Amino acid sequence: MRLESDIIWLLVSFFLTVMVFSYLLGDNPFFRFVSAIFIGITAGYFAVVILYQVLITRLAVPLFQGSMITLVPLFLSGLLLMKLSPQLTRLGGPSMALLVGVGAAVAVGGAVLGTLFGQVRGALSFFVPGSGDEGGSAIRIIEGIFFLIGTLATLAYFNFGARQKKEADPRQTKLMAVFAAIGKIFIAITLGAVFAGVLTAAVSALVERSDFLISTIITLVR
Amino acid sequence: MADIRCLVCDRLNDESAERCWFCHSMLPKATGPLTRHEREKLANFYKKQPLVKNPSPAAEPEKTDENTVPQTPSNEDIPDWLARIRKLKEEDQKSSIPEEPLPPEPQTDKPTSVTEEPEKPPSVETGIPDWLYNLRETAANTPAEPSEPTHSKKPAIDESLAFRGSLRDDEYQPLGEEEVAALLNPLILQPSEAPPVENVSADHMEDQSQPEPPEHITVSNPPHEEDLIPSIPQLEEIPPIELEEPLAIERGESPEFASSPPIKEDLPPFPSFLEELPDWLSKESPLIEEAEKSTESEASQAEKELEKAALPSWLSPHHKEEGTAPVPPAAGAEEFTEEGVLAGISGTLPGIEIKDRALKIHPFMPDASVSAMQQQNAQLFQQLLQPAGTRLLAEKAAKPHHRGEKILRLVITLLLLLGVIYPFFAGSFTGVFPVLYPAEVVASLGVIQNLPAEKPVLIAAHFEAALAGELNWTAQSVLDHLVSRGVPIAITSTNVTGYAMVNQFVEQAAARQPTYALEEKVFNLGYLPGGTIGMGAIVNHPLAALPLTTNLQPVTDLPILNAIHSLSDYGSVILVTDSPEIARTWIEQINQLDAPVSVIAVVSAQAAPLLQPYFDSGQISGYVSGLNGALSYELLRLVPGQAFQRFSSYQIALLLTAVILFIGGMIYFILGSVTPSAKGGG
Repeated sequence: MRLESDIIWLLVSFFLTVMVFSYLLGDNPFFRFVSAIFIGITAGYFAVVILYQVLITRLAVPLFQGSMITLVPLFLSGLLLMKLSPQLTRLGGPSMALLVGVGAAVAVGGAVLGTLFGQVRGALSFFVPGSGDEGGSAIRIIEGIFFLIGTLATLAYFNFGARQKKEADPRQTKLMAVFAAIGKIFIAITLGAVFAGVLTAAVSALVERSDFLISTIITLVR
Repeated sequence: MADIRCLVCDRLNDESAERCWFCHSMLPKATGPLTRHEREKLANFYKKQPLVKNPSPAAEPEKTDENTVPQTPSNEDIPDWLARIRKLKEEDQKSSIPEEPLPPEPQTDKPTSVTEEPEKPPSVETGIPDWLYNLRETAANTPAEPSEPTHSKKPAIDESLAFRGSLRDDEYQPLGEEEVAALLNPLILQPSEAPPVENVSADHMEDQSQPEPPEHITVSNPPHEEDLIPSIPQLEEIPPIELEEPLAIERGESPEFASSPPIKEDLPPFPSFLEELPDWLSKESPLIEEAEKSTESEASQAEKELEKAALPSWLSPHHKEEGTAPVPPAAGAEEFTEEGVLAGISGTLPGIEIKDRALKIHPFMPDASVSAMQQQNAQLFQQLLQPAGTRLLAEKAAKPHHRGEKILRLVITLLLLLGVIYPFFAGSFTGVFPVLYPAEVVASLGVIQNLPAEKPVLIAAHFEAALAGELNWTAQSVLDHLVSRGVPIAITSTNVTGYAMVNQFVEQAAARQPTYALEEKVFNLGYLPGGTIGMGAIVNHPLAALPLTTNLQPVTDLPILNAIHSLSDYGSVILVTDSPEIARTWIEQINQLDAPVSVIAVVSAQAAPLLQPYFDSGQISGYVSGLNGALSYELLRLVPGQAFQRFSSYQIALLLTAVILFIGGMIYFILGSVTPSAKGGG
């Protein structure tokens, strides 16, 4: 019984994958059918997960257990539902304000403490003796200088300020222009790396699906 | 006659006046008559200044009827100051060389000098002096005027001249010649001057309490009767007026008046000025018309010299059609406004109807010069505004079926598929494996290798189904390692798809390790809602953020997770994600912990470049990215997995992709340099 269900799901997966690959021939009903199935399943699955993972486990169960503090998010959620009505939409303002305010505070705090300070500390660590365990201090200092130049040059590239001169168009200073040109190179390398990563991920997905198709065919043939 | 000198403007006023006639300031008590020096100055000034006046409507009676000589007042009737002035003048004429007689001083339609003494008239009935009364009678005997001038306000300055004659010698105060000239200039009309206009300041107009002379009094200042009478025949001989400044005349001001601000302020509006032109000035209407034409020509010339606006090419047709304002009605066509807030007021500027102001928008401009790039951008913008379905249908209808493109697409796909499939059937080909392992992978392996077996590991997932295949192979190596070491695993996900997929990954890894008790060591804490807020909550209060498992079992009831009060109590946090942003957010929140916990990221290859700085800065302990990282991890563990088996296909597919990209880039470069339009169209 278990084997039959596996084979059925294997066949379903196989044909759905082939339908997706049919887009190579252009837009066709098979591809649209698979797209509709995917969207529908995702929406349905999302609703089920929200119901079981959020509403029941975090709202209903605590309420039935007598947790009165749960009434606060319940009340705020009720206010948020008022956004559906044009007449009562103002009542949803406090809930929305709370969401946006708390979200912004958490995000900004994390960005400052996690990324900004962390990256500054990481950039300085190249120049701290004994902080690196590889290559010796000289190589680390060179590496740190390289990182520092790359960081400053990239920041200089995004500096669009220019000094006004008499009877001439405003232009960047020569030093800033040189740094901006270097920063452009760093940005190009970064974007190239990101593009290569995206391409690699796509190729990995192609290999994985091809492996699935071939494995399925071999399994069915055998 | 006692006069009062104003302390503010230093001008003389009548003794009965309480306020200055000129500056309206409070006056002191009366002063004496005109000093000798001032009398001399006045007399000399009259000699120097030829009092030539233009013929005015008021002077026309003398002109039309020469036999009618106005009876001048007798010496008994004239005021004292006038008598003194005459006497001084006679003395001067006797003592000095005979000078040319002063030009005639015709009367104007407005009184240029009114020596009004409201409370001291000889005539009780009229309240004016007798000499003035006689003068009025003389004017009444003359033929009737066609129209009485409306602007018959008394000038303000000449009154000071009239009363200055009564200044006493002991109260002599030197008066500068410039001041005298300033006082007398408005009284002296040059041949080129405009007709008399109101010479009354706004303050005078407003002050109704000030005594005003009778309107019909048109006595010149000073009334030199002997000069006035002979001047009557000479009026005909006055040469035509030569306009020095046409524009000034148009505005109703002479060059001299132009320098006098009070006169300028009281000028009537231009249209009414034209309507009330006296006859003598109407002769000059051709000159005025000529001046108007010259003004118009100058304006048109100035308009031609204006630099043309640099409008965009696509806007030029709009400007051609819509920039032409509706022609307003001709000036003067409507003397009085018939409607609106200005109804009944003449001389108002004609307005433009609102309906005429409405711009006519032409959606289609056949003559618009639009470049191909602009047209393409407009079409793109229009497509973006369309609903998705309509846009797709439009694109499908607009794009012709290029058979070549479809064939090229199929060829590339077949090439890639062949490259991927070939290693499946060619067992001898294994690809080129790396001999140097990335530092982040080595570090990740070291962290997992050193994890205590009793401490659970939190796996936080967030990825989409499209990259589930890549992440499955990537995470498999790490999960196999964890399962092989028997580490308890707690699973959560910040998105719904990841919640289902990561559970499957763990189950697959546990299935490959039969000794690992899945039910006892794997706890699915479910979906973590709230995004960043949820991450922050689980970092600070893991039990409060994830209180129940997916089986609705309280976390506190689980012996393994019962001891978890902070995220630091986990042995490690493993992030499984395809998004660098999610990984960054997790790292940022975890870094706020006082007691740090080791973080390992299992990410897609596309997120690797953005995670490298966090590894370099030590904010994460290590990461495994993509198939390449998984292969390195397997090679380090000496346990080959899916990554090791399919790495050859992966390498061939990458090589083919790189070759195709290079060839396509070269073709595009060559074709683009040959046909530049291909770039714009592309």
